[in-house]
Amino acid sequence: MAKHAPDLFAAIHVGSEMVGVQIVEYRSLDDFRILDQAWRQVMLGEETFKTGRISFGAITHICELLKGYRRLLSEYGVRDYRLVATTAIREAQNQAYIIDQIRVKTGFSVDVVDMPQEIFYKYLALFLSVHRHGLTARKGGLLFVDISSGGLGITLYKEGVLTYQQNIHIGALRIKESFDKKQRDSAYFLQALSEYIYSTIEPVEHEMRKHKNMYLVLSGTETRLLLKMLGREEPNGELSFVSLEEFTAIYEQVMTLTLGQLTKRFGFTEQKAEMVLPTIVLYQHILSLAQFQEIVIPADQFIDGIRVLHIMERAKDERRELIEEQIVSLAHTIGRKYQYDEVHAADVTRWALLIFDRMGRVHGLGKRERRLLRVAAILHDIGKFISLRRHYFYSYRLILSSDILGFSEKEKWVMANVAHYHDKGTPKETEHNFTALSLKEQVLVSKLAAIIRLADALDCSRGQKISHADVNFRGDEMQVTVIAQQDISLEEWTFAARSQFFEDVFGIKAILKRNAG
Amino acid sequence: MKPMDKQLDRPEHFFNRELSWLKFNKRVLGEADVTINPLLERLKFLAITASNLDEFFMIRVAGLKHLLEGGVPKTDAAGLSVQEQLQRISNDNHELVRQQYRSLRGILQELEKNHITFCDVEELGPESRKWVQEYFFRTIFPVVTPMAVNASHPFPFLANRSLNLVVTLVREKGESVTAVIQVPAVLSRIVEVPYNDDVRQFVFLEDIIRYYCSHFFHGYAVKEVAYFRITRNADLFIDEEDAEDLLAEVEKSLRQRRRGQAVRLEFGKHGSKILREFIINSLRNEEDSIGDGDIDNDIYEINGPIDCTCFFKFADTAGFETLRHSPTYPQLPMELVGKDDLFDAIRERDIMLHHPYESFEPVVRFIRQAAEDPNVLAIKQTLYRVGGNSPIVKALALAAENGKQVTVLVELKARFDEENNILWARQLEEAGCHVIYGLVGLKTHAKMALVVRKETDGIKRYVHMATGNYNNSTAKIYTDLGLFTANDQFGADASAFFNVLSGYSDPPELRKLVMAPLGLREKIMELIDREIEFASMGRGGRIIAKMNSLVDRQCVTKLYEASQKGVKVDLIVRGICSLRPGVRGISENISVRSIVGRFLEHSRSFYFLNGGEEKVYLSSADWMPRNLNERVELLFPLEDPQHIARVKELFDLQLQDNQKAYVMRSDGTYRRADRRGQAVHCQHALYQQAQAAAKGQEISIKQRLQPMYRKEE
Repeated sequence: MAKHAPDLFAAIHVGSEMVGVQIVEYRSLDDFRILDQAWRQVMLGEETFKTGRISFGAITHICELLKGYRRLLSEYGVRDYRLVATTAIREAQNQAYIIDQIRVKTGFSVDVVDMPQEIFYKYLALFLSVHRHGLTARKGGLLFVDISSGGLGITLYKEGVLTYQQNIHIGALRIKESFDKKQRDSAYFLQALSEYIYSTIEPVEHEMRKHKNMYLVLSGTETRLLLKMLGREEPNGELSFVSLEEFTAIYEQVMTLTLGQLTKRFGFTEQKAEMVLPTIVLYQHILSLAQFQEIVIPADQFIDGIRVLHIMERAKDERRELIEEQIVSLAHTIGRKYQYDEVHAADVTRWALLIFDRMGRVHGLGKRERRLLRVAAILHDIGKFISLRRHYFYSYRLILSSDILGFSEKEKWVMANVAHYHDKGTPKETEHNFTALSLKEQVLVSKLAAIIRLADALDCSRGQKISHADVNFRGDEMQVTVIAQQDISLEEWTFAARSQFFEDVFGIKAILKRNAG
Repeated sequence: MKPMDKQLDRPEHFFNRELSWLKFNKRVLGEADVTINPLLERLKFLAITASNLDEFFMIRVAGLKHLLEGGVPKTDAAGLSVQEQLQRISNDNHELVRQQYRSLRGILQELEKNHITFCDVEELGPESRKWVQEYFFRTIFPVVTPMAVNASHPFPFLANRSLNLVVTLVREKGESVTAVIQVPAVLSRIVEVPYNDDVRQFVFLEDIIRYYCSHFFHGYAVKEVAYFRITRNADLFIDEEDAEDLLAEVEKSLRQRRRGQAVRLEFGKHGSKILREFIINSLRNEEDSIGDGDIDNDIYEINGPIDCTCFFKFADTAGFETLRHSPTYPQLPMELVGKDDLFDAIRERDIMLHHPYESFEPVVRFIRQAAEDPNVLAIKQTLYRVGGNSPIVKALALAAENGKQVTVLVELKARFDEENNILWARQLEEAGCHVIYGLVGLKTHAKMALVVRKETDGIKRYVHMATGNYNNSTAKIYTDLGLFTANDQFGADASAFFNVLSGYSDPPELRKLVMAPLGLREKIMELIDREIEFASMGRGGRIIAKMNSLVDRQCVTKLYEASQKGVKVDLIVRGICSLRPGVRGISENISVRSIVGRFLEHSRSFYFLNGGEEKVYLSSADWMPRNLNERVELLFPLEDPQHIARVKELFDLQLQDNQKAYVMRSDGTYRRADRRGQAVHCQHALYQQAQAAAKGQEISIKQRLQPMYRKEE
């Protein structure tokens, strides 16, 4: 069979230190070819971190570059693209104007991703790389540490499950910018830098102590500095391995070198050389968090993550499920942290997804929304950890303040609100948490909350009395037929009470019917 | 990179580049004396030396004089101060000019035997003189403006390279005046005078003006007339850092070029000392003149017509075919015989072209076919010197009109082609091409064209790279190698290369190509080092390198090191060579030869034995500091074993040539290669080879029926 022509896609990244484009043709996640890539170093991050804004001069420069990329896209006939902006634009107070300028001047629309998403994009690419090389099958687990210019993401993977995920506002560039030139020149700088870094990542230590023999998967532009100091070639689609001994040797060297010596010995520009010290000290602290076997440095960058995510969404791939399960596993990790009722959470998830899946055309929602429902179902009760009174409110607060890999800030708002309305009360226009959402999101919250309420009702006794359920539609009626051996009066009453909101949202009457099993 | 070996980097191991260049020009002049060359071809070589010298003065000598003026105490690799260099240039060039005019007189005598004569107006018969007189009044008189020089009329600013007459006039009262007449450049310098016999006779324009010049000055008597020509500094000074619009900036400085400092004066031999002093003094008083005495070194007394470049045009005069080479016809490239579709052929295998033996037409077709192919999405190309009325420029414009994305890098700073290039740049922009001017402070000298095509199994890139320009006129006289490839490793590199030139990207790591100024010299060093390593292991080291000029000190020093370690190095360097070959303990394993023939040797190609895994590279770059530091250049490997073999054969021929080759001796002089034994004329042989190959299959059957004779080179 003649293969159809591959699809084309362009990933564009406006980062803090780099603006780049990657043009790719693909048939699947593995069958792809990078046709062209280009990148320029920029200094957006420094500007944002210092002044909180990006100047129009800098934006004009970026737009010129993006216009060039636009031309590049048409040279390959690429129509599908995704332009993602990270830290520098995310944190700029004049973000809205910048995005508008880019749209007006270049015709590109910009996606500004938040930190968890940024970490997730990269995690996707990194995970697939180490997975391809069989590292995920090894014992000991993998600690993914991604250091971007503005953030540090720590993700622990062990046997198919994410057991820890934390994002910290500390990046190599941010560290550098936290100290002014005079401070950096001070004789006590190293000590101060070390303490500063330690204070920021110290809370992670407690969790890390539990693990042994992990691989440290390091990513971020600064990993290239490390490789260069080791005299390694630019990573080229492969993994680079660095032993702990090699790292220690470099660390000890760097501690004794001045900036000038660094530039001379390793051929760094002064700008790069200034990043070396904070980077190496940060790495050293991370290495002292736990016991590691080896350092792994994949070649993948953020821009590869944009590509992976796009292809994954377009081309069917079983690894998508793999990632989905990891995200869910992370939700359970968070649940455990707040001592949730695991069996109840599982039950509610089961019934919620059953109803969601059967409703199909009635709710008009897709896979992403299903995932929101799923994670909200897992976490809907975690507020009980704080207080049994108004626990739904604390669930809402806890979800909002948790890092949940794979979801954007907006999506987290949706899930938190779904949890908020899983029990009592209905979304009201007077409630700030609800009105902060867009109209579209408000509707989404109501839909998912209506479903989760019924699902929660089916196990409101926390007894898992219902062993089986089925959902059928008849006209304006949704009949939930359940099999239970014990008495389910409490469930029936609760279900009936909660079906009103469901009807308000969907215009469908939900009826619970019991078949004795 | 290791520092240069101090022992090897010593003045006595280097030749001065300017003096070496003069020697090259002398070799070119040598071709004017080769009696088996057709007469007008000899005259053409003479014209080439003259035009070469003009450029040499406008750029190199002017540069040195500028340095001297600035008082920069700089010595060259050979340890010569600027002053010393200028002095020696002057000495050598005086000798060269004498030789030039000796040759000219010889050729003119020969021409006379062939019934072609140059005469003064006085020598003409009455009929002819009548014709000349009419020509003077009708054609010359209206376009000439004599300029008097006196207190109210200062000495006029005479354009660079213009030929002038200086005239002394006297009134009856005895008072004398001086005037200057510029010989109009719009008229043909050599005027054919009708004559009734078989003889064709020619008169120089300036001689007609001289003869009738009293007609310009009524009331004065002409006392004396002399010819002179001024050469000026013509290097452009462009402030790129601050230039908002490079195009405008180059245009502006072009206007200034005509007004550079005078660096050379050619003065007709018959002029009096007084007139000569008058001109010299006038030049010294010019506004930007270089300090006193500096033109003194470069005052040349010319015994014959000043400015021999006029013979270029003359040599092409109709009716003299027998006195020229029979024309050569570039052949269908052997690797394209029997191929209809260029893209198909390239996809099948890499294709190498060797110009001018093989036609440049496929390169034009490459762009034209791309312009018309509906599947082609984009074309990107560098243009350095495109020549007049370029079919490539037309094809690019057509492509843009056909909706292709066309990006063209026009190098505005290509010396003496700036005006031409501004014109193309504008035309291309109007056609809708994206025209870029390259990187600030670097001239883009690399030659590359990239075609992006959408095919059924995805995007496919086709690349052409070469050692010579995309110029269909020079491709007929310059020897150059070019390569077509569809290998995507080259394709990806080509894209990356253009991304850097367009400012889209910081320089990436390239897979196959090496780009100057980012590591080309380092790559050369690495390749030579590898030979040194192999030689040291006893596995033999061998380098053959062909280029136009070898000046880079690091490269030369590295070659000495290679020689010392037993690497055998053969250099085929057409022009400047600052390496001293055959010095015991330093360079005894290095030979240098220079081929100067009908075609200008222009290809840069490099062979490395590499322990048996032979490597051949082609490049746009000479081994000169300016190429390796200040230009965007490319070096690329040949990967098809057949191509490697082909270039090796080429090297063999060039190293065996004993007809057009000169061998450099360790004192820096050149001698013709030993002609004993079988005659090998590489350019001739290659042309014949190309003709045979192009005739293709059916002839080869016929050839099989022919008895075999000993192959004649």
